Amino acid sequence: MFMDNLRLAMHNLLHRQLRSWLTILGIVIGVASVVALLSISSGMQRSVKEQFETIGYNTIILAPSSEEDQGLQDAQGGMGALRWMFAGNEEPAEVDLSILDKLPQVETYGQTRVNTGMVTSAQMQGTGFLRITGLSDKVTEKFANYFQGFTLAQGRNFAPGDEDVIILGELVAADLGVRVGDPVKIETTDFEVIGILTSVESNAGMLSFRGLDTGLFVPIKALESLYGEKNTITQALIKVTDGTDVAKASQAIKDLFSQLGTPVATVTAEEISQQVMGVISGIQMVLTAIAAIALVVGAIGVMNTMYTSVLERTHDIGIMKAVGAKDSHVLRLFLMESGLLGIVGGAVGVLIGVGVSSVASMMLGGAFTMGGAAGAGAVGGMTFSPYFSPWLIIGTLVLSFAVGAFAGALPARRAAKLKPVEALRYE
Amino acid sequence: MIKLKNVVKTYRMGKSVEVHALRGVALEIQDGEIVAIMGPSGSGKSTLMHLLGGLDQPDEGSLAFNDQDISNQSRTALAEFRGKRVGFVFQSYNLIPTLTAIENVELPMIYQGVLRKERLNKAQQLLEQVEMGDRAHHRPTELSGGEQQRVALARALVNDPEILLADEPTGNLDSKSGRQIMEYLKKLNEERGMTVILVTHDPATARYAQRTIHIFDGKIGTAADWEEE
Repeated sequence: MFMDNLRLAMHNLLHRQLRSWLTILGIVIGVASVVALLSISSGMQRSVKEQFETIGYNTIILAPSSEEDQGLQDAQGGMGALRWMFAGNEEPAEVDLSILDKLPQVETYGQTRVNTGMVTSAQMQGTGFLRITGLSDKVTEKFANYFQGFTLAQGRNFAPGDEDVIILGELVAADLGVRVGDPVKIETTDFEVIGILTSVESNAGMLSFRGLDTGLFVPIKALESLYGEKNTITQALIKVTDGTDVAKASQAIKDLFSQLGTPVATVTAEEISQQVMGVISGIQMVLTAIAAIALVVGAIGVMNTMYTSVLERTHDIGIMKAVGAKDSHVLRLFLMESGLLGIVGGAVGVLIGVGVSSVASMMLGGAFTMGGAAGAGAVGGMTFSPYFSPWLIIGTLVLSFAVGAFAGALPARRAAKLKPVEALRYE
Repeated sequence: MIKLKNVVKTYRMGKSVEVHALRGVALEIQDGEIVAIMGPSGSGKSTLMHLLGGLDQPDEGSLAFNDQDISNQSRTALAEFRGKRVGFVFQSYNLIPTLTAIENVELPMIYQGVLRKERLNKAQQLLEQVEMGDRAHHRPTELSGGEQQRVALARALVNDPEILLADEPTGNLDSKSGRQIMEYLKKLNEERGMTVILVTHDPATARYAQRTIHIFDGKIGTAADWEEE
């Protein structure tokens, strides 16, 4: 019976091909927009989530902060944290991190300090004012995910006790015209180049060190000797022990430094990810609502087509009833037809939606690059690919069949309820 | 045996006008009879045929079909009655224009849940019986009136009905095609003992019947009533 209905329904739809395709087009547009928008936004969510997962939810990022900033951050809640993250770096300020050694929640920590200095080399004409990043002992190893791409092409990494040594990004090394073993002068001090980093193709991490290719790295002690001010940091990374409540630890650390008179701002991966997710979810809801409107319009198209069809085929319905069709047979036939319009529209719509979102995410990926300043910028460019969950696809197909059948329900009911004699008389 | 008692049917045209199509019809038709129902247009003969075929229900009275009273049945039960026990032949053939001849013949069997292979076999076989076997895949618009009526006849027979209702079966046909259809009906009656009820105002068609029932102004009358008119 099902197959017979299917065959008859297909027959009827194919008999009115142009109208069927136009009706289907309405559904296609609705479904394609739902699929495209949902897969783009869930792709974004996934890539954000993945990126936060790489740096780890047990990591707290800390930066010196003035009392005013503190107030601002508190007043704005999490959004303050976001703003702080995206705003880039503050001037280095004095914060004595050694107190962290006493906190049981803290597993390990490391810090960076950024100063701008006059850099010269024998091979380069003139001088460059460049950002020089001071790294605490083993910070690139302890927070390897944050320093993604910090791998040496030549030479060696810092060793404890090193001071007047420098590791250069590939581009900087080329500009300075130096190789491993050559001297580079910062202000008046000579530094020996001990390593050159591998060129980084792309730095996709949202929360990772930016601008490795143009970076100059020295032990943090060297910057202290050059510019004075011990215990001065631009940023610190703190890893808490497993099982610690990261949010509480973050608050505790903030309170502690506040009491010491050197206030800091802290942000956890969780906080940022929640904020970003919240924004994306909001966008997702709005877009989905718009797409849903398109789908509703498509459904109205199906309903219109089916009403027309019932009217046109009134006489045929009379014949079907005269030869023994029950109301339910007629009902099922018309539901099948409208359901088919829906599901074909759904299938084509899914394909187009997948195509559109793939193309769109390629273009959007560039637009979503945030921050990106060289140095210790915390927020990087974000690339993402749309995520097509199997449930989205299956759900969309089921939904489009349901939308079609639902839109066809009233017309089908009208057809089923026609009285045989009256239907036969209708010409 | 078909037995009608005091059958009344009134149609409402708009809100105020009532048309008394049948005003108390009593009638008996024996199994295996060929009966012609004759009457002028507007006499109620089409209404009578619709009631006999279960296409409509009377307002009053009873309509018994052997053991089954169909005057007060549900829509589903009536559909089943039409599908299994009655075959229709209409003046305007009433084939579904988008379906081919064989698909039209197949249609009533779909509603009886007959499997496709069996349906196709039987439809082909019946089309051959009415000499339409070679035109099975033509659409109604590609067939002549006589051919269409033969396809309609094949369709009426697929579910082996006990009664065949023919509403002006020759009304749209030339005399040769009309005679051919009537010969088929006569043969069906003779070979299968099928009850055939002809609704007509054509005396040539009515001549095939063993008995003629005259209907006039919604009542059973005599040929004389008609002549007076």
